Amino acid sequence: MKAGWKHLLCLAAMLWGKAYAQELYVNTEPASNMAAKAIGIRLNNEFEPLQDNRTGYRLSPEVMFGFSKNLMVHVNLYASSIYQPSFNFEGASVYAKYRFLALDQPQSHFRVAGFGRASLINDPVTFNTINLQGDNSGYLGGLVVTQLLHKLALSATSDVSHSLDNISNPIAPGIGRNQLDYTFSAGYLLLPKTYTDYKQTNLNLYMELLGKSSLDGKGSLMDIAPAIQFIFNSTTRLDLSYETQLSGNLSRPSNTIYLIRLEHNLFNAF
Amino acid sequence: MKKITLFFALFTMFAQAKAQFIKAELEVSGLTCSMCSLSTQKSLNTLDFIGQIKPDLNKNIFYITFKADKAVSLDALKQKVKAAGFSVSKLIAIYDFKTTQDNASFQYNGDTYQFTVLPGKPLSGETRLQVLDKDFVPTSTFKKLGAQIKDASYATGGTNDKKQRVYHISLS
Repeated sequence: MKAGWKHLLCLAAMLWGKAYAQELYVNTEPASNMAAKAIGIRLNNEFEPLQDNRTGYRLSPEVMFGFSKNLMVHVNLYASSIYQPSFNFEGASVYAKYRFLALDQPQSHFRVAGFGRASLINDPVTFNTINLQGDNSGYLGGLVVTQLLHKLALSATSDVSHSLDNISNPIAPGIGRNQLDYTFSAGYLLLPKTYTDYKQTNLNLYMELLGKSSLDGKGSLMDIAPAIQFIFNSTTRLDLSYETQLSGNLSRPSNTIYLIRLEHNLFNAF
Repeated sequence: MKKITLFFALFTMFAQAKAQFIKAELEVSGLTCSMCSLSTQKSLNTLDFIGQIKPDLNKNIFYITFKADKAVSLDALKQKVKAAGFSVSKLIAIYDFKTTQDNASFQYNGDTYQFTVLPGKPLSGETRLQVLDKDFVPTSTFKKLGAQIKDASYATGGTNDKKQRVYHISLS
């Protein structure tokens, strides 16, 4: 029976042909890293419909460094109009990811990485949801597992966030400080059907589930985030994502986030 | 007299033309997008002995031409693929034997290249050699070959004192 399954899998692999999956997730990071000595520059633009009928805008410039095949670091700056009508500087965060397992096969791979983030933010703290990418000061640590299976790239992350008092805004009594985050992402390469050169535009589709649970009993939530991605000249990326809440009761600025991201990669940059 | 000297100088130059790796077919696993392939190619391009690289983006194979006047390091090729975050799943190097060779091994740039199966015929001219060592084949293949190849240097990739790099190759 076991051999039968193996044959079936081999047949399926042959029918599917090459691995046309995609793991350049939009709302999460895969366990794979960028190349050593590469630098990536991102402009993240978030639009959030707010409770006072304004649309909050957050701009986050991001620089990513591939220090080695195993270690990469992101540095983000944040500015937004989410907590006030004017566009104000909010703070910064540093993210590091270390890939400690990589099992590569010609048609598939399996990778595991550990990651952490530390943030310093200066917004008022009025919501129970902890978001270290713009809303809260604090730190987090977790694991990400990515599996490429022929046409499908699957990834799961889990981490624990702890929020600290924001720079000049202490956390109000009764607001949660600890949170479990968990995500599940799938990616699929739609175009090109056949690669001929680096100048072809890639079109990728993603579906991501993003969950948060307060560890202080403040509730939980689950978002769904479909996304579409274009890659130009094998160096420049455009991500468009729509994240919306499926269920939950954890308070936050907005239940919907539109993301427009531009990314450009420089190889052998240092 | 001058002409004769020049003739001899040229003759000795050609006679000593070194056997050399001239080309390679490098298959990389783990590549999932053209961005990954491009970063791997750019990583390979930083090696001084690389002349030209032509990628087959569907098969994830890089067709590499080496410079004639530079020493080629197959280990350096592997390191650059790893630095880009991927793995070598197959490497076929095309070696030009300038003289006929009929031994179980040969030397190139201080390293030993050991045939795991004797070619059974004298080799000359351009010859396709597959590297069978760790990180040049999938891990499962390396384990399988390890059971077949009795040579103790296969597991370590070198002599016991680790002073000598020993590549294990077969005709391809």
